[in-house]
Amino acid sequence: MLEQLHSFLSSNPFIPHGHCYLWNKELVWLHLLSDSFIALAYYSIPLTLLYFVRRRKDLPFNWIFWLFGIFIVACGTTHLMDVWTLWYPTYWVSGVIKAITAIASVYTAATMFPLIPQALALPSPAELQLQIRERQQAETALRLAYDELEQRIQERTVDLATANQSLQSEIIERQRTEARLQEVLTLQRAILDSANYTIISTTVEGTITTFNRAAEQLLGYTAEDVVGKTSPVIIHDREEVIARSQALSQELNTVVEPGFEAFVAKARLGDPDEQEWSYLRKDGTRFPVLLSVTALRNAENQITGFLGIGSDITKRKQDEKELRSMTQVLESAVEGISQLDTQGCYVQVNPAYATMVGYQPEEMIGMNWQTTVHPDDLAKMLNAYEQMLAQGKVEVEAKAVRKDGSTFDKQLTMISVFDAQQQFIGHYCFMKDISERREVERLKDEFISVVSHELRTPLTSISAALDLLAGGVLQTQPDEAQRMLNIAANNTDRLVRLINDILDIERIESGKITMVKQSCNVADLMTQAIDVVQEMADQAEIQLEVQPLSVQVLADSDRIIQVLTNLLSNAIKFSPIRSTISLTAEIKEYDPSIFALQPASYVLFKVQDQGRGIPADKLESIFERFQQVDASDSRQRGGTGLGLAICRSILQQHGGQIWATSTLGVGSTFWFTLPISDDSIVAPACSVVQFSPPLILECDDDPSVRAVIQALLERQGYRVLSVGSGAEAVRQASEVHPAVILLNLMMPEMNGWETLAALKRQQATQSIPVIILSGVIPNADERYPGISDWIVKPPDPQRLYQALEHALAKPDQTLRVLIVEDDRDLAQVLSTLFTRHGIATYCAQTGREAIQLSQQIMPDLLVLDLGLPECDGFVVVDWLQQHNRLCSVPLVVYTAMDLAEEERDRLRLGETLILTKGRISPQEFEQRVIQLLNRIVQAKQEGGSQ
Amino acid sequence: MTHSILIIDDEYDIRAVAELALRAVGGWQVTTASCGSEGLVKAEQESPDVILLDVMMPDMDGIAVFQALQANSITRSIPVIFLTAKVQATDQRRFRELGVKGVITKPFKAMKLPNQVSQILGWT
Repeated sequence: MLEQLHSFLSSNPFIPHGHCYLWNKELVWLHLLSDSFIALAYYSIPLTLLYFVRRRKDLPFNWIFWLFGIFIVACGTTHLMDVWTLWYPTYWVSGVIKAITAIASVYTAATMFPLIPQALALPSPAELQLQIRERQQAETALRLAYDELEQRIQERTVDLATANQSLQSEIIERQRTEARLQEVLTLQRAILDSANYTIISTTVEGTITTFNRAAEQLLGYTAEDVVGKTSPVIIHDREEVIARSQALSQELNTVVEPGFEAFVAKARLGDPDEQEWSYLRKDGTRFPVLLSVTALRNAENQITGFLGIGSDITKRKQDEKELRSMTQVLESAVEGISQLDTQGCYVQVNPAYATMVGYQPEEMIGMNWQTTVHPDDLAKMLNAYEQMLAQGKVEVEAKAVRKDGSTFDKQLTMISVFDAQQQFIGHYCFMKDISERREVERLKDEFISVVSHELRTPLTSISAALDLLAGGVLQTQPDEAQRMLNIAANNTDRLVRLINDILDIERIESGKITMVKQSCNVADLMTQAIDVVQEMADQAEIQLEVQPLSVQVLADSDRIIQVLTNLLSNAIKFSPIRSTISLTAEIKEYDPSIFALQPASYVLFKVQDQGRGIPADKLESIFERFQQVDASDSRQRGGTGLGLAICRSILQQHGGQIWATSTLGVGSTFWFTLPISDDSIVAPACSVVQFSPPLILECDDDPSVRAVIQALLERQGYRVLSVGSGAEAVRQASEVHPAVILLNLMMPEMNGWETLAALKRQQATQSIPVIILSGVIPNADERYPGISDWIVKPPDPQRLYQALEHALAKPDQTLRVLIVEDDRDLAQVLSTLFTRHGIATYCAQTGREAIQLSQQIMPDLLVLDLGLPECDGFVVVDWLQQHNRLCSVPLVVYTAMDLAEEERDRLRLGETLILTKGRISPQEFEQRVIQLLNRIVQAKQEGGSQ
Repeated sequence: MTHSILIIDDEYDIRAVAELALRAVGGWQVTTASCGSEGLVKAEQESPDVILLDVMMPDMDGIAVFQALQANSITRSIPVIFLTAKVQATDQRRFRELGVKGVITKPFKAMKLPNQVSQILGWT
C-alpha cells in the first residue's frame, strides 16, 4: 500500500515539464509566471467568493458559489501543479488534481444549466436598476415615511410620554382616591357600626338594603333577618303608621297609603321629614325614636332608595316628661317663682308670681324687680339684695306694689345663681303673698287685744270691789259693802263664763272638737232647753211657749241644746216683763233645683220674742264676736258677747244656718236650721234611694173611706196609694208593686173579686198579698185562697195594722225571688230555673234597681251578682243590712269573683250562700238554691203557724 | 277740798266700784255717765274738775269723746284721764299724744284710785 502511495507521489520515471520548453528561460518564466498568477488569481477568487458568500448569506444559489469556489480552487491548483511539474514531474498527482478539477467543473456546469432559467428570472440590471430605483424610491418614500413616522413616533412618543405621565399621575391620583375611598368606606363602616343611630336604607319599594349595627342592637333583628327581606314597616306600630298616613294625606292633599309610603312620602318630594315614632323590637317591646327620612338620589336626580336615621329618644322623652312635669309644677305652683339676671331684671316668671303682682307673665320679662317694690320698703329691699349678693341667700318681708297700684305684703326668698365657672348669672326669687297671713296675724292680735280687754273688764270690777272691801272703808256702809261683794261675785261668774266661751269658740272653730252626732229627737232637745232657762224666765216673769216637734235629726244633742238655751236666754234678757217667748220647729223641704245634693228636708227652728228689736244694720254683726247691739246691758245681764258667735259655729258644724229677723219695738226672731237625715242610712254613692216604708195600695170606690184609711195608715208610717176602681188598682199595682193591696169588694164596674182575679192573672201582681177591706162579712166556713186576710169595715186600726204586718211578713205561699244580675241572658236562665219551681221571680239589672225593687216586693230570697254597673253588689248588701226587714232576707251571692274572707263576711244578710260562677255547675247551683228555699219555706211555715 | 269727778264708762259695775272708791276713799263728788253722748252733756252741765273716761265703748269711743270735749269751749279745759284696759305701749303712746292728762289702766287698785288721780293732776 505504502509503496503504491510512494509511487503515486514520486516523479519517476517522468521528466520535468521544463524539458518540453527546452529550458528556454523566457518560456519557462512565461509559463511559470502565468500559471502562478493564474493560480493566485484562481485562489483569490474563491476567497473573494467565500468572503462574499459569507457576507451575503441571503443570496439564492448560495451553494453554486461554493461549487465555483471548489472548481476554481481546483483549477488553480491545476495551474499550480503546472508550475510544480515544471520541475517535478509528479504527473500522477497533477493528473488527479486535473481530474478533480474536471469533475468539479463538469458538476458545476451541470448544475448551472438548471439554474439558467432561474438566473434568467433574476432581474436584469435594468430591471434591477428599475427595481433598485423603485426600491430607492420606495426607500426614499419609506425613508420619508419613516421620517414621518419617526416624527409621528416622536410626537406620539411625546404624547405617549405625556399621556403616560398623566396616566401615571392619574393612577397615583386614583390610588390616592382609592385609598381615601377605602378610608372613607372604613370610616363609613365604622360610623354605621358605631353610631348610636339606627341607620336603615331601603330600595325605592321599601325593601331594607342596609341595617347598621345600632339598628341590630336596638331592634333585636340581625341584618340577615331583614336585609332584602322586609320593609321597615315591621318595626313600626301599625296604629301609628295608619295615623301618620292619614295626617300626611291631609297635609299633602293626596292619598298616602298606610304602609311604607307613610315614611317616605315627604322624602319623596324632597321635603325634610323628621318625625317621632315608636320602634317595635323583635321581642315586642317598644321605644320612642326620632326618625329622619331622606331620599337617596343618583346623578340624574332619580330616587334610588331611602335612608332612615333614627335616634333613640327614650331619654329625651323622659327628660321632656320631667321637664313637662317640672314646668307643670312651676306653672301650677302657688308660690311665686321667678328668675332674674345680673341686672336684676326678670328673665322668667311663673304664673303665680305674675298674678301676685298683677301682671301678665310676658309683661314682666326684662322688668326690673324694683318696679314691684313699694317705695317705702325700697331701701330695705336694696339692702336685702346686697345681702344676697354677699351671702348667696336672703329672706325678707316687704311691701309690694302691683301693676294697678294696690299693695300687699310679700315674703321673699332670694337665692343667687352661679354658672359652671362660678360666675354670678342672676338670682331666683320665691315670693309668697303673706297678706292673708298678716291679716290672720292682725286678726289674732286684735282678738287677743279684744279678749284681753274683755277679760280685764270683769277683773277690774272684782279687784276694785274687793280692794275697797279689804281697804276697810266700807265698814260703816254695809249696804255698799254688800253691793261690792255682789259685784265681785257676779263678775267672777261672768269671768268664768267668758273664759269658757272663749275656749269653747276657739275649740269649735279650730276643729279640735268633734261633735258626736247622733240621732236625736227634736222635741227632746226643745224641752230640755226650756227646762234649762225656765227658772230664768220665771224670774224675769216671762212666758215660755214651746211646740215640740217629734222628728229625728242627726246632731250633737248637747250642742243643740246649747244653741237653744243661748237663744232663749238672749230672748229672755231682752224681753219686757210678762211678754211671751215662743220656741217652735217645722219640717221644711229644700227646693231641689237649688239644693240638688242636699238631703231633701230640714228642720227650721224659731225663737221669737217681744223685745225691743234689733236694728237692721246690726242683724249680721251680732253673730260676730264681742259685738253688742248697743251699749246697754247684755254684759250687764251676764252676756259674754260670744254667745251668738258660738251658736253660729255650732250650726256650721252641723250643716245648718242661723240668722235673725227683727222689727224695732215689736220683737225679734232668731231662726236656725238643722238638716234631717234619714232614719237608717246615708244614701249609697250611686243614687239617692231613700228607705221608704212599705207601699199600701188601697182600693175603694168611696172617697171618704179612702181618706180615712189613708190617714190611718200614714199615721203608722206606711205609704199609701189610693185608687177608686178595680181597673185602676190592677194597673197601678203592676206599675208600683205595692207591698199589700187593700181591696174593697163592693165596687161598681169591676168588683173586688174580679179585681182579685185580674191581679192574680198578671204575673207582676199575682204574688202581692191582698187584704179584703169590706163591709161584707166573710163566710166563716169558706176558705178564700188568694187573699191574706179579710177585715170588716169599719176597721179596728190595730186589727188593720196587724193584718198588714202579717201580710207583709208572710206574703203569699208563692215565694218571691229577686234576681240581681246585669247579664240578661244569665238573668233569664236563673229566672227560668226558679219559675220552673213555681217561684215568682223579679229581676233587677243595677244595684239601684235592686234596692228599689227589694223594698217594693220584699223578696224571700235575693240572688245577687256582685259585678253590677253603678253600685256593685257590696253596696247593695251594705244598704240592705241597714233595712230593718231586708237585713235578714236570705241571700245567694252568685259571682264570678273569687272573694277574700273579709269580703265574704261583708256579704251577709239572712242566711247567706256564696256560690262562685265557674266553680259550680248549673245543676249544683239549682240544687243548693232549692235546698235553701226549702229551708226558707219550712221556717216560714213554722213562723206562720204561730 | 272736794273735787268733782265725772266717770264715763259703759260698764255698770265698774262705774259702781269706781264711784264708791272715789267717794269713800277720796271723799269726792262723783257723777257717772254710761255712754259718750251722755257724758258730754253732763260734762257741759256740771263742769267737773276731772273726767275719768273709758276708751272701749260702743258707738262713741273714748277718743271720740275726748275730741268732742276738746272741741267744746266749755269743756276744753277739763282735764281728762283715760281709764282703760288697753295696756299696750303703742296704745299708751297714742293716748298721751292725744293730750290727755293721764292714763289709768284697768284693773286698778280701788283704794289707790283717788291718789292716782290726785298725782296725775297735781292735787295735794
